[in-house]
Amino acid sequence: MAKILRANEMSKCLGCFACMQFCACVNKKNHSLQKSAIRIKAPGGISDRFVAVVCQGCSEPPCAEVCPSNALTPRKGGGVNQDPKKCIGCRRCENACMGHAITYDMEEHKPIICDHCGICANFCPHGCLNMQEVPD
Amino acid sequence: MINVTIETGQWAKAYLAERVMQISLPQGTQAGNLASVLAIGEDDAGAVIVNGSIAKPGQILQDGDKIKMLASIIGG
Amino acid sequence: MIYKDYIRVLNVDMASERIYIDERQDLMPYLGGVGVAAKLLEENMRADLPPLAPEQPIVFAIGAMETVYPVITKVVAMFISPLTGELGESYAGGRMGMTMFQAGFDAIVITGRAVRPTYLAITDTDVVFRDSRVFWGTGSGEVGRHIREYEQDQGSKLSIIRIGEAGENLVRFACVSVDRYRHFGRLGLGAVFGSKQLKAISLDGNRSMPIQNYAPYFKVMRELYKKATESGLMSKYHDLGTPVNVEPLSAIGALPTLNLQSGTYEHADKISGEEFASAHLVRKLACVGCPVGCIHIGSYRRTFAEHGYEYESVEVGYDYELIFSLGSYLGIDNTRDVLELIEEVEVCGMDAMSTGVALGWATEALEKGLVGLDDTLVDLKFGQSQAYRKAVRYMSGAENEFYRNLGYGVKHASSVYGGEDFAMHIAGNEMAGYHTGYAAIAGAAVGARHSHLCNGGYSIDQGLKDPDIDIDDMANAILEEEVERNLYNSLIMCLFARKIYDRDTVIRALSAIGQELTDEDLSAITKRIYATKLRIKKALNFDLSEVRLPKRFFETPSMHGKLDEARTYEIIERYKEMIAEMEAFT
Repeated sequence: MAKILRANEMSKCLGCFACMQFCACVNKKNHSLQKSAIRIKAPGGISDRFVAVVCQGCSEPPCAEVCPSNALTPRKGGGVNQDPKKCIGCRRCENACMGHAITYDMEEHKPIICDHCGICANFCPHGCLNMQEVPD
Repeated sequence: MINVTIETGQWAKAYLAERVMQISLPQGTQAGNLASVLAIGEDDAGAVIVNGSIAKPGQILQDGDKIKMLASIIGG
Repeated sequence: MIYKDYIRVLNVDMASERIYIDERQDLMPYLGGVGVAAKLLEENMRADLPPLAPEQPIVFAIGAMETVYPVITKVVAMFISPLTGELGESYAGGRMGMTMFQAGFDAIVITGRAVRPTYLAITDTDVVFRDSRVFWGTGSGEVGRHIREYEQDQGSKLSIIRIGEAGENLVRFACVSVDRYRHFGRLGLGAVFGSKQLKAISLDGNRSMPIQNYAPYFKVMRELYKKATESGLMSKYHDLGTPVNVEPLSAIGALPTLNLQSGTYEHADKISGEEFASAHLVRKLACVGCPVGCIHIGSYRRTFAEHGYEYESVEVGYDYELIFSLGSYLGIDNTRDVLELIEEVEVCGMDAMSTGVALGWATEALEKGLVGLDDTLVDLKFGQSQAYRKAVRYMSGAENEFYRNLGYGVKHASSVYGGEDFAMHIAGNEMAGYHTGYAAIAGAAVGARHSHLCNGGYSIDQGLKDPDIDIDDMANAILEEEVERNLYNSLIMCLFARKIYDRDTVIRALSAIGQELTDEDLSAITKRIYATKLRIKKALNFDLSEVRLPKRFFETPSMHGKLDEARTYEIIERYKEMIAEMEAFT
C-alpha cells in the first residue's frame, strides 16, 4: 500500500510552521520556509483559519500531463515523482495545478514538488497532517 | 492508613484518574510530601490546601481531611 | 548572522528616508538578541535628550539561534523608556523573528522622526517608507488588515507590528502589537513609535539559507523538538496556559487584588484558567517555530444594537497577566467582562498590566477624594467593568488632564494627585501579577528593566523553603538569575522553554550551526551584556538608592506573610554593592 499526505485536520492548526521548517530542512537542506513543499496560509491574517496548500495526490495529475520532459510522472497511490535531472524549468506544472500546490524555486530553477514523504506529518505537533494508506 | 479526599484540576490529569478522588494514605503523611507520595511531578504540583487553609510546613494529614492540590505557578 | 562572522544591521533614518547596512564583526562577542541590541542602544542613544526626542533609537534584534530551533521565537526591542526614563527592553514573538531572519537582518536600528505618518515595509530586497496618513487614528487590528492588503501578502508569513491610538497619543505605556496576538507590551515602545510618526512595520523575507552541517544540525533539532513536544515540560503552557495560575496564586495569597488591598481574590474561581477554557476557549496558536502553542484565544458574543438581535463574535487572546491586571486587580468577577476589557485595551494598544494598575490606583484615588468625577468622567468602582471600559478609551485618547497624567503611569499620576502609598509601581514600572515576597519586589526593583521577567523573582520566592533567607543569599539568587537570563535573551528563546535549554544543550545547538563556544565563553557573554545594560542605566542617571516603593507592598500580606520594608531596601542595597564593579566587564 502506498501512502499519501492528507491535511485533513487543519482546524486544529496552531500556525507553528513546523511542517514547513522540517520539509525545507529534510528535503532541501535549507532553513528557509520558501523551500517547503507544503505551505500553511491564513488568507486574512493570523486571526483567520489556517489552510494547508500542498499536493492533493491526484490519481491523474495534471502537472505530470503538461510536463514536456517527463520530469514529473504519476506516482503509485497518487501525486507525482520528480526527476530533477529531466526538468528544464518551464514552469508549466505550476500553472496546471489547480490546487496552487506547486511553487517555483528561483534559486534552483526547478519546481518544488511534494513527494509525500510524511516528514511534515511526523513533525506536526497537533495532528493536523496525516499519512493515509491508499491502494497502489 | 487514613482516608482523605483529594481534589485537583485539569493540570493533574496525567497523574490522577479523577478530579476528585478518595484515597488511602499511610499514617503520618505530610501535606508537603503529598505530591511525591502520589507520584505527581515536582514541577507540576503547587500549594496544598487542607480543609480550606493552606498547609503549614510539616503539617500531618488526618483521616477525613479534604485536600485541594493546586497547580504550580508557571511563567517566564 | 547565522554561519557568518558578523552581525548584519539595518539602520533606518525616518527623517531623511535613508537606510544603510552594516556588517559588524565587532558585535560577535555579544552573541545576538539582547546583547547586540544593548550594545546598539548604548552606541545610538542620546542620554542628554528626553526619551521621545526624534534622535532616540529603537533597536530590534533577533537571536543567535533565531527560528532554527524549537521555541526560539522572540525578538527583543530596546529603547529609552518614556515610562521610566531609563533602560527600555521588551520581547515579542509571533512571526517577526522568522521574517527578520529570512530578510537577513540580525538587528534594525530606527532613528529620526518621519515628516508624516509612515509605515516601513521591510523585505530582504527593499525598505520602503509608505505614507500612512490615512491610517493615523486607526486601531491596531484594523491597520494590520490594511497593510496586509497593501503588501499583497498571499499567506500568513508577513509580520506586521503596529501601534494603536495610545501610541499615537504618546501614552507612556503604549504597546506595539505584533501579528495581532503578541506584543512588545511593557515600558512604552508604542509611544516611541508614535513620537517618530511610525505607525507600523511590515516584515517579510525570502532569503535562501542553506544548512551547512545537516547531520549534526538535524540531530539536535529533532532532539529538541521531541523535548518540546513530548517531555511534559511544556504541555501546561499549551493546555490551560498561564491562566492556570489564577487560583493557586489566590490560594497562597499572591494574587494582586483590588489595587493590592489583598493577595487573595474571593472570586478567583470565577476567573480561573479552567473557567476561561470551558466558557470561552476556541483556539490555540503558536509563534513560528514553536510546537507548543501557548496562545489562548477566547471568544465571547457582543451585541451592537439594543434591538433586532444584532450580535458579533469577538475573539481575543488571554493570558494570566491580563486576567490579573484587568480582572482581580479591578475586582472584575466574570470571564466575559475580563475578555471585553482585554479587547478594549488591545484595540487602543496599551500595556495591559500598566493599564490595570493605573485604573486600580485611579479607583482608590477617586474613592479617597484625591480626584473627583470631573477628573475621571466616569464613576470608577471596583467590579464595574463598563466604567473601566470607558476609562481605557479616555486614557488612550488623552481625554483630559487627568487621563493625560494617568497615561504617564501611576508614579507620575500619584506625584500630581497624591496617593503614592497605593500607586503600585516599582521604579516607575507598574507591578506584575505576583505578590509572592521579597524576591518579587526587590527583584523587579534591581532588575535592569524593572520587569518581573528580569530575574523571575516570583519564581525564587516560590521555591523558598524558608522565607527568612539571608539577605546576601537572596541578593545573590536574584543576581545570578538576572545575569543568566542574558543568555536566553541573546538566543532568543521563549522563557517558557528555559528548562529545555540547559547550558550543555545550548552549547551543542550553537555548535551545530557553526558557533563553537564554551561554557566559560557563555558566562563571559552574559556578564558582558549585563555590564552594557548597567552602563546604559548609569548614563541615564539611574540610582538604585533612589528607588522608593509604595507602602502597600508592606501592608498587604504576601505569599510569605507581611514583608518588612527595611529588609527589602537592604536587599536592594546589598545588590547594589554586588554589581558595583560589574559594569567595567568587557
